[in-house]
Amino acid sequence: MLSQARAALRTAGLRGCLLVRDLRTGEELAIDPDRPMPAASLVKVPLAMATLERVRLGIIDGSSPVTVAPGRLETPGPVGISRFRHPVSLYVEDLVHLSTSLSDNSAADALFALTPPDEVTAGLRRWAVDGFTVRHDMSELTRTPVELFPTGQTHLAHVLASAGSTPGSGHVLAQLDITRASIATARACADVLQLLWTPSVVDPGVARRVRDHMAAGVHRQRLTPDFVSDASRWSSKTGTLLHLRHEMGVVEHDDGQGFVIVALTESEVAAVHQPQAEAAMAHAARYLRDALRKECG
Amino acid sequence: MLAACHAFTSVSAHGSFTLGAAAIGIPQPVASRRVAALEAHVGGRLLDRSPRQVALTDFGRELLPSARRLVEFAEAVERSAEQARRRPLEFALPEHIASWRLASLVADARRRDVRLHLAAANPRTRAVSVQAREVRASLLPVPPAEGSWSVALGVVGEPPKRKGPWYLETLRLGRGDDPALRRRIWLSAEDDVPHVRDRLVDRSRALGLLPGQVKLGASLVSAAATVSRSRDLLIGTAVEAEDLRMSWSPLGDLSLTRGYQVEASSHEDGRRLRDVLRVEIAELLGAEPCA
Repeated sequence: MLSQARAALRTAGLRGCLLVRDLRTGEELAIDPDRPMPAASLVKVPLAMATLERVRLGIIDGSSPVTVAPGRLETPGPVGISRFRHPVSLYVEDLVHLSTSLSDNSAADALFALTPPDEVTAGLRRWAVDGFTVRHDMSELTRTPVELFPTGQTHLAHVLASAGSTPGSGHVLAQLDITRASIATARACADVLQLLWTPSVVDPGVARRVRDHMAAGVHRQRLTPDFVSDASRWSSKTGTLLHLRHEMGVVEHDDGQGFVIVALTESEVAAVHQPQAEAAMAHAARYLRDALRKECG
Repeated sequence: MLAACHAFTSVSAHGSFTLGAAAIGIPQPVASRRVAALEAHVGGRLLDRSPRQVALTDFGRELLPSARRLVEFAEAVERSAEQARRRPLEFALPEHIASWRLASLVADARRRDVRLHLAAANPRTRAVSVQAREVRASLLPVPPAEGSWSVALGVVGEPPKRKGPWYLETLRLGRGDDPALRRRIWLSAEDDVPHVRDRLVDRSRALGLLPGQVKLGASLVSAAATVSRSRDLLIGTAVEAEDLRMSWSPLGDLSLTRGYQVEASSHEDGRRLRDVLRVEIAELLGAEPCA
């Protein structure tokens, strides 16, 4: 059944790391779950956890607002303060919402200014998550070849992304080089979600708020269409960088069952918009979750 | 030297300047001048001119066999040139062109005094054959702007419901569609060239088609066979569609064109095919002759 999921991904030109885990039993099905990949916006989940924890402990002042410079971006994709033309004054809690639910890079970088990447990583290590390392903030990710190519030729940046690997999982582009970029494995992502969705060392109030922000995610074109329903709650965070398309989420059924779903993929198709690839990711993830549910009963 | 020897051998054979000159179609004074020039050149009298007849000197008798051989060789050169001119021009064309069309081309070429001997092969083989001089000329695929002929490519095999262009985006799967049932568009070996294949692949990616939805067929026939028994489609010309007895539509969201140029081992052969047979080759391919 793993080969079926692999085949579904391959048909869409994807190579991926998938992991589905039953939250109650811990049973899981996985494809390449320990392969590190650039994490892109997935870092905003541990960023939210670290930030809210530091507010709770008083390390960050959550009671006075922070001024955030506008991103003033005009290209399609980014949302929130990233597109604002004027500075804003926001409280940290609200910045956490924008960063997590909207994947707003300007909000995230305002949070990184309060909790540097190293500190986020240290938090992950304290929570015993090893495969997730945060090395830089989001501004690094807006300096990719995509920004260099004129409109209509951005797919060429994807050709560069697909072809630019060097031996040992390096890459000519720093943002895709796993020795220089923020990285995560599918298993580490699942472990982070397990910390949030099951009782753990993470403060329950912090965990609840991060869960709520993930349930309010606005990027719903990837795994969401295949997992959302009236009979379940779907919460997730997407991550996209050049030819990488990721999502990590949790589906909670009204009968009490819950599953962690993580999909980290890289595409060999040089196209910016790939709805079929995203559908294939969801199809493969659903397939594995259904297989796991049958096995566990 | 040759003309002089020709006059000398003819006069000697006929024993008279008048008859000898007439036999080779030159005026008698010219024959006399040429023999005299030869005598000056070889440094001695070859013929004794007496009122009643012309006879060989001893010197002339010595030189006569060689002079004859020179004239015979010259005639042999002319004969082989004539033969070479008559040799058929081996011309390599794309595979799977209908026989009646090929026969038409050969017949039309004969009317224009070009004798063709046709061979069919895929583009790579045709290019190699003309470089290796296995054929005297090949019709090779080139970007349309560089060719003497261009022919529009469209979609073959879609049942015609209405006239009008067919959109490649039609093949794009919807979110609820089963990828196993995806339709594919096939390209034949004739179009496995960058200015067709790469443009089709790039456009299909941009339109959201899956990578496996554009495929290269082993040959036009195998691709057509797949198309005839499935909902897949083939890229081809209107002439190819007609010969396959399938429908043809122009492409709506992409313009694909085949260009053709003649590459020949001799300049003259190239000229004959490009210029003399320009219209006939255009008809064969269903192409437009380019300026």
